[in-house]
Amino acid sequence: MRKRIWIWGLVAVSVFMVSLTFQEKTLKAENLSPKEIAKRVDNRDDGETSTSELTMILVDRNKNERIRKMKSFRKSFGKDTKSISFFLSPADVKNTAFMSYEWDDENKEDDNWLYLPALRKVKRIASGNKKDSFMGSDFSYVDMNGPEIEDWDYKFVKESEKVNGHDCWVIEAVPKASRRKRVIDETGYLKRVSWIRKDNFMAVRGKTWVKKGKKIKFFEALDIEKISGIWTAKKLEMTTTKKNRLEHKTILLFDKITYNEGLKDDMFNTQRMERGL
Amino acid sequence: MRRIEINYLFILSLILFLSLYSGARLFAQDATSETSSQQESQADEDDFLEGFEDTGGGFEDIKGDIELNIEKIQAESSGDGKSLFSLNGFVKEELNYSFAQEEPDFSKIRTTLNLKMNFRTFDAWKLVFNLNSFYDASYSKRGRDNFTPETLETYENETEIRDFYFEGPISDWLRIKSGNQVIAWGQSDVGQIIDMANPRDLRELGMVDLEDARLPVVATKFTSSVSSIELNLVAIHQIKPNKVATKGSEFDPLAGLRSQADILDEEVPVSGNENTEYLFRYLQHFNGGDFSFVWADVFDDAFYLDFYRLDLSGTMPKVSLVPRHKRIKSVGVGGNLVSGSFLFKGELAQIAGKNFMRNDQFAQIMALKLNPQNQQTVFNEDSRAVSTVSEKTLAKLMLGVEYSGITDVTVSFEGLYDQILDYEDNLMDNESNLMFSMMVSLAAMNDLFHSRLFFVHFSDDNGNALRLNVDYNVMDALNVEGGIMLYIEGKEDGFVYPVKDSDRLIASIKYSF
Repeated sequence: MRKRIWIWGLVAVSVFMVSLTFQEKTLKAENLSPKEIAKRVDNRDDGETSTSELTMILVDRNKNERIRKMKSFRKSFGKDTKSISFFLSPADVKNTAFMSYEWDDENKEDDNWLYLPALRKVKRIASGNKKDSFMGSDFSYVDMNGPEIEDWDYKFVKESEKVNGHDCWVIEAVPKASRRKRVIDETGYLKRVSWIRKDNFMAVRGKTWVKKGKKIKFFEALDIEKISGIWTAKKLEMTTTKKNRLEHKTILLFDKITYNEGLKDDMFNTQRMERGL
Repeated sequence: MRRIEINYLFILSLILFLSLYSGARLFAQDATSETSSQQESQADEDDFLEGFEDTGGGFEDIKGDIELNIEKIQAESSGDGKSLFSLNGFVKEELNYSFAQEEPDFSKIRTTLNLKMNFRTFDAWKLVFNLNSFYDASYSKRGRDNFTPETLETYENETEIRDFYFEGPISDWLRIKSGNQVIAWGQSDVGQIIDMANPRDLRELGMVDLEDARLPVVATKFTSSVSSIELNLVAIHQIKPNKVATKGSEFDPLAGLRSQADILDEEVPVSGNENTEYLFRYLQHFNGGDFSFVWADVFDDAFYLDFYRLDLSGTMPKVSLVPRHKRIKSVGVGGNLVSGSFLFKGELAQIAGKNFMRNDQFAQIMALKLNPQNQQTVFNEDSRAVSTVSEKTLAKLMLGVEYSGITDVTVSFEGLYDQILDYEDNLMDNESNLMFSMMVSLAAMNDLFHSRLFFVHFSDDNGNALRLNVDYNVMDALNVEGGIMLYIEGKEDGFVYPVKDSDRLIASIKYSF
């Protein structure tokens, strides 16, 4: 299990990939460029605070399942975000906690801590490798936080395609030639194609070409609904394939999601990690 | 000698392999990226997507025939973590095979049961109870008569309460945690520099898992957090020393001394008000790092050998020594700094009032025996006839770095240095000591597989220790582990030499619930 985790990033993913809450009626979608659409997806409102329970189902090629469950909390402090997550199961990792401070200032590196109950110790951890798997899942840290918009060139693959009855743009993104080496090094991705719903700017599908192992990852957002006025996907799937064969699959199920219900500031300190839920 | 060469070769090969592997991966990534950067600038995107064998299959094609009963999975997974009572724990079976002994045999067949109960009240108070119990069947298998009573008492079975504390808020800004507990401070994974609250389990050199290394003590801890600052004040009510290997056991640190002196039972200071230990910590987090200041007024968890009795009546002097614990005062600082994939860490402490063994005890005894004016043949401890120790001030330093920039790999190094500040030549210890440790952790197969290599080097030819573990997650909460522990001796009077034949193969299976 990797040791730098922003579980609330997953909720952000579900919101980022799946939601945007600005006024739909004011949009003139026809006039938006692919890059502007990507910015709109990225520039989301995910509430001042949020809580959720997350069930992660990992399925290997032999259809063996492993299940992890977490409880997560997030709060915005101005443009900065603090989040904390606690493992509920399986038993061998129960009460393990992760905390992250994500700073809006580009010059500040995110702060991350890990609490291992077996050691009874809070440990600061480095940001590490963004390509790494998030807790053994098919989601990487790049998937969770979203790639930098300015690092990629965008173009329409199709300006209209129906996905589950919703009209979508199909947008391709490749690393800018001038930044290609760095972007590929950081993300591990060579190309991304996203299906963005026109009515709410949600990325409901994605296809990503992964350099390492020449794998292709398929993303899908399901069970989409508005919670407290914020579009949210309650189910995310990421499937990794190689040579058109399934390698591994991750299903994320979000439950008991709340937004803007107030969280105390002291929820987000290292003492809280030790105390647990 | 041949064994040393083989072990060294093995370790060097292993480290070289891992270094090359990691380096190669890193280099490969860079080199490939560099190459592709140059090539890709001249080629179109289809070139760098070559080899993907993407038939253009759609989302329906990759769903396969995976059918999951989501509702059932959600219903079966545990609750929201806020239940008023919870019971967790694990059952573990461990096997150790000592293959380097003259008669190789299983040196551990240990069954462990660990139970943890958590009671919670509605107003944020909780009570935690953790019991750990093990039985090692290897002693019966090898014949209990072959072991000293002390060995059997220490290693064959044990039942102990690890955690038994209550915790809750006294006010909005002050919390209390009182009872049997572990207080883990500091950054080092190996050394004990500012992490002074808990004694250590040192019964099996390098074999004790990190999670079992700290021994809980009865203490009361007050914590106050204001913004990014945390203050801790701790009173330790129970004086508990390190657990060390006992007389006649494989890792007995006094094995060499027992033939020259009678070592009495360890004297542990009485737990009570007059001996209460005190610790204070100031901890401040900031963007990219943290800083801590620690002050401690405690008993040294490690014993020193004090003079107890000397009998000069026979042809050979008979000296008795007693392990005791000295009150020490420590002040130290520690911190972390994060930069990208690097985590830099450091600790520095000065420990005053620590006793160190002297190397001139035999000379003192002989001087007494040969002194014609001396008519006395028996000296008790009140006479202080022989000075076994000198009180000194010790400085300790740890510098370390962790690197996690290689996919699914974490590499960490620690260097630990200590120096006796007011050193004298009549001390048994070196004026300074240096120790290096390296740990390489690898996660693979979507976190199903983990491996960890841990290597410790003691300077001045005192030897090395290496432990390699591989762990496989058979299913949720069920793990199997295999590994090897190697002790590579240095000089004959070195630290590792006495346990040079204690190499072990390790296997375990653990089920958590």
